[in-house]
Amino acid sequence: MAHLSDDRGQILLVAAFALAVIFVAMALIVNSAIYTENLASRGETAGADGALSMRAQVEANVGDAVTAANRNDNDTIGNLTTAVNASIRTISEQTGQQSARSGRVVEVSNHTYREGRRIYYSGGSSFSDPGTNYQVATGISRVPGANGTRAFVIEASNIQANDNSSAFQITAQKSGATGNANSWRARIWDAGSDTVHVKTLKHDSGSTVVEDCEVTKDSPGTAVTIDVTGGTIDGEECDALATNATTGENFHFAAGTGVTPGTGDSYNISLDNASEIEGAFSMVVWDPESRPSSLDSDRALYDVTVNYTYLTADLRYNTTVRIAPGEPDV
Amino acid sequence: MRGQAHTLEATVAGLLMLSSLIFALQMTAVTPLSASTSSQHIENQQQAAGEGALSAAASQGVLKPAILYWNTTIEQYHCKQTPCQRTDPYYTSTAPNGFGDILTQAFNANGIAYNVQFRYQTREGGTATDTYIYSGVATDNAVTATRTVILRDDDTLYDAEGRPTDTQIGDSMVNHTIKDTGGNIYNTVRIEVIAWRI
Repeated sequence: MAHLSDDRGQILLVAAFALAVIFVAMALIVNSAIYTENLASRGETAGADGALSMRAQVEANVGDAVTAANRNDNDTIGNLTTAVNASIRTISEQTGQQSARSGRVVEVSNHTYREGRRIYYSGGSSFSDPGTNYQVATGISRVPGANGTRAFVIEASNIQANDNSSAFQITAQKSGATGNANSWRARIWDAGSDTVHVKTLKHDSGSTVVEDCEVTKDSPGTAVTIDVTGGTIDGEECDALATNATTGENFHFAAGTGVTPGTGDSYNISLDNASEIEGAFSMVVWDPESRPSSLDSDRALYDVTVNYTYLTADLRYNTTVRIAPGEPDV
Repeated sequence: MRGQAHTLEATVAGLLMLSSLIFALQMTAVTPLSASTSSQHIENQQQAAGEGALSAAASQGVLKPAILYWNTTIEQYHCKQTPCQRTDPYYTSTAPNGFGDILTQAFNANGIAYNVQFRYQTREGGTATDTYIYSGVATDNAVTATRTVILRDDDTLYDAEGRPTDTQIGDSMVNHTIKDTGGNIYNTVRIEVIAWRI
């Protein structure tokens, strides 16, 4: 017994040492866990997302400038390019100055253009002024990697058609094709109770694929905005003008015409049952050979290619961006 | 004598344990990730929420209308009451338009305060800011999300209900705080959402 009680103090001391070591070790483990968490929550150091989101913003802003120039400065191609150049310079300067506040350099420069034509009808009454069934534009080639028609928007004040058989129809068909071969047709009618129905028939390689969509108008009444190339009705997605949600089948404007981008192939756009719809429409096409003289048209820029530079302390991003506002996928 | 030695050993052991405990506690110091109002995680989330709100507003087409939500009579952003009760030319809780609704959904329910300001070019070439929503002075841990949009001369102003009017911002009778800098482009506006936890 005496022997044991002699050692008791040392056991206590050893136990305290052991516990002290354990505490310190645990502190180290906990700290390394905190450090790991810290590393995990750090973003990528280069921050490429800033460069990409600024690129999207520049794209939208230059697109806006192109739209403004097409509307206001369309007398000659020289006026158009001068106006767009001035706008791009302003955007580059002002965006650059504001981005400098967060330590970034943003520059937009060195632009090339593709000339196109803006075709529009702003009569306000039914689209049938040039006739019930007529061609809007012929011989539209596709821009390499893109569509050839953009910003096709219908501002309908009233849609008289109320079923499939009487529906107003937009057709895009390959030049020289017969019957319904190589065509994309969208039928638009009023389905009652403030809804608009769009039925798209795509006649690709011998068989017809059909897609339907129905969208409720933003506000009660007869007016509705149909963005044909953007695939929306009053800002709401419409599968029949975009892609099928389940199969992913492409129903974008002029899909299925079989016109290969960057070749001599071309397609025509025509309207049928034009007396069944009232309001205005506008579109920009790439270099059409002809158009009905009864429709208004102006010189326009189809697209603009700019050089975009984004610099931070640890990132340099430089690319060319082709800007064609309202252009759908091929 | 032996009793005193044992007592001393026990005291030393106790002190050793206590000091190691204190040392261990000292090592888990407050880091940027410790749960608090200034946690890095929260800042990252607020930044992402701000960017998301701006992107959502832009894709729904309510971001530019928020700048164009201008009353030409009182020469301020629209005021819902008539006559206008507010003393400052900005909103204090949220803006009564589509952009304000998106910000409310993103932040208000989560105990996050935010200011919104527009940074634009002056005619002299400098930059100026216009406060749009003001909730107070931001803390040191506030984060900023930004988005740059351009205004065109032919962009139309919006009425108090959020409907476009016939008045264009480039009209000479419109006296918006953001001024025309020439050409088709009216001005470039950087919309800044400054958010912090309260």
